[in-house]
Amino acid sequence: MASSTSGSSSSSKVVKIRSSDNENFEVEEAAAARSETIKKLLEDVGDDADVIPLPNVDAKTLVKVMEWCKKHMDDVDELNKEEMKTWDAEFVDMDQSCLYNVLLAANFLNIKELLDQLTQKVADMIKGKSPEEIRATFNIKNDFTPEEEAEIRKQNAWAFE
Amino acid sequence: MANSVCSPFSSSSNWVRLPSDLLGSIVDKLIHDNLSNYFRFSTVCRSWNSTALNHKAKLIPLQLPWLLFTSYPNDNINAKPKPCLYNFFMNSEISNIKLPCKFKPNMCSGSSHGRLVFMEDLLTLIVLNPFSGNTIRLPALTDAFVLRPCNLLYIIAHLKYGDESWTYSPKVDIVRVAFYKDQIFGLSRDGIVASLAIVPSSEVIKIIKDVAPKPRDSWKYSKVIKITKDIAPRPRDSWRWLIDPVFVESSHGDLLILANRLLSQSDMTCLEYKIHKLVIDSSGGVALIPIVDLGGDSLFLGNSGSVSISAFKDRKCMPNFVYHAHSNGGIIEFSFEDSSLTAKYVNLHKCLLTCFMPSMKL
Repeated sequence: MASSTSGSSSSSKVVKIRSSDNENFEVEEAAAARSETIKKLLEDVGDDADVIPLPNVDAKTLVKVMEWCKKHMDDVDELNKEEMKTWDAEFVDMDQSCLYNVLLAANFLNIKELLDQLTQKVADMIKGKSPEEIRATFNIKNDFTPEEEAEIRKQNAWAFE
Repeated sequence: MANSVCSPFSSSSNWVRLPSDLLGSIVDKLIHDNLSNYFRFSTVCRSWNSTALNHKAKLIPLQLPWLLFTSYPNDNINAKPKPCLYNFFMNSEISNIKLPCKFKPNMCSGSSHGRLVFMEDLLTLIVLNPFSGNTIRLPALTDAFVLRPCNLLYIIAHLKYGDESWTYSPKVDIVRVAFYKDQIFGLSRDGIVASLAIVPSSEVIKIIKDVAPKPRDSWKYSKVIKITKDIAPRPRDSWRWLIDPVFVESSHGDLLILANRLLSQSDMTCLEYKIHKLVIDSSGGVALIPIVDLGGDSLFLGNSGSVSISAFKDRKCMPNFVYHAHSNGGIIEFSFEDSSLTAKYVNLHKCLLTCFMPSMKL
């Protein structure tokens, strides 16, 4: 099955990318080039490029990342800044598993602005929570021995109100 | 097996194994205004703990000063006082700091490099980093007069790393000292600048006789602190009203002397601030130059510890602002740019107020 993003303007150049689970996507070059990794690959292969394989990103995640790239394709003027902020806030509001995959994908694809938004989202999810709540949120197992944990807590007792 | 249905995606995400540079940028964002988030992050698991530790050094420059003050539960002055940390920009307090000794109001006698200095008793000082919990007990003083001055006369004590015992000064009216450019400077309550030097005691017996009313214990030590007063001519006019000035080193490495005076006894917001810079010329002469602003710094002023930091754009503090923890019980914000002044009441009790920068070092 090959889903494709239909180019809104036929004049803009389209590149093909392939997810780790072998789905092909057609994306406007300007959107795909938000990724430093893809930009670099395009420069390397020139116009001969057939399909750019992205072995680290599955289709579901790639759709999500490209959604962001399309939205952020053009420079935003002052008028739309607020609207964009709202859009970004809604975009990063996803469950932790999805957030994890998009974060790793943004890292692999090297999209700085998206990385910044995602790490900020993770930080916001951590802020104000107790270690137990953080573990529950991110499904993390406590691998300290009780003695080690007691020691760390004792040193910073004030942080655990 | 009801538990098995929760978190259907848990197998696909592994936050523990997140690349350390990603974890690092999350830590960077956590630390911006509150260290407690950072410490809770470091307690989640081993992998996050080691990321947090690796990022320590990077995080210090982003911190803003904290204020140590004494809090009485429910504002009841008869209740048992507690040490409290106040964050200037989050309007939040931390009230459960653990001290290595019994807490008494007025026992904090200053701060340096993120450490607070507490008096355990009249002869013992304890240095504490409240954020790491690390404690150092200094060698005992041999003269209780150091920590319990009377008749506005003090004895200054000096201890260098490696020294086993303190070196003392004769009784003197110096109330502030600063270590600056390998020299020790002192300030009297009325703005007289002095230089302090450690010298063999034989050299200064005559001087001590002139200054100290009575020979004291300091005579029997091999070294004493020699004090030379009035080393900088006092600028005319501006010093007349200076009461209880403080030393503070700016982020540019200048030694500033900041003083304030209350213009009206009935209104605590009627305050005026004045700054001088201590300048050492090539021949070692010292001069005081009045300056009009803080050179872009934000200054956090307490009566027992002050810090001056650069107000760069990521910080919430404003350039050329004084954030003054006032013993009348409020935080006063004064701008040297337009002389505007705002005050907010935060219920600080009239005792030693210490502004300090948090340090992540032990």
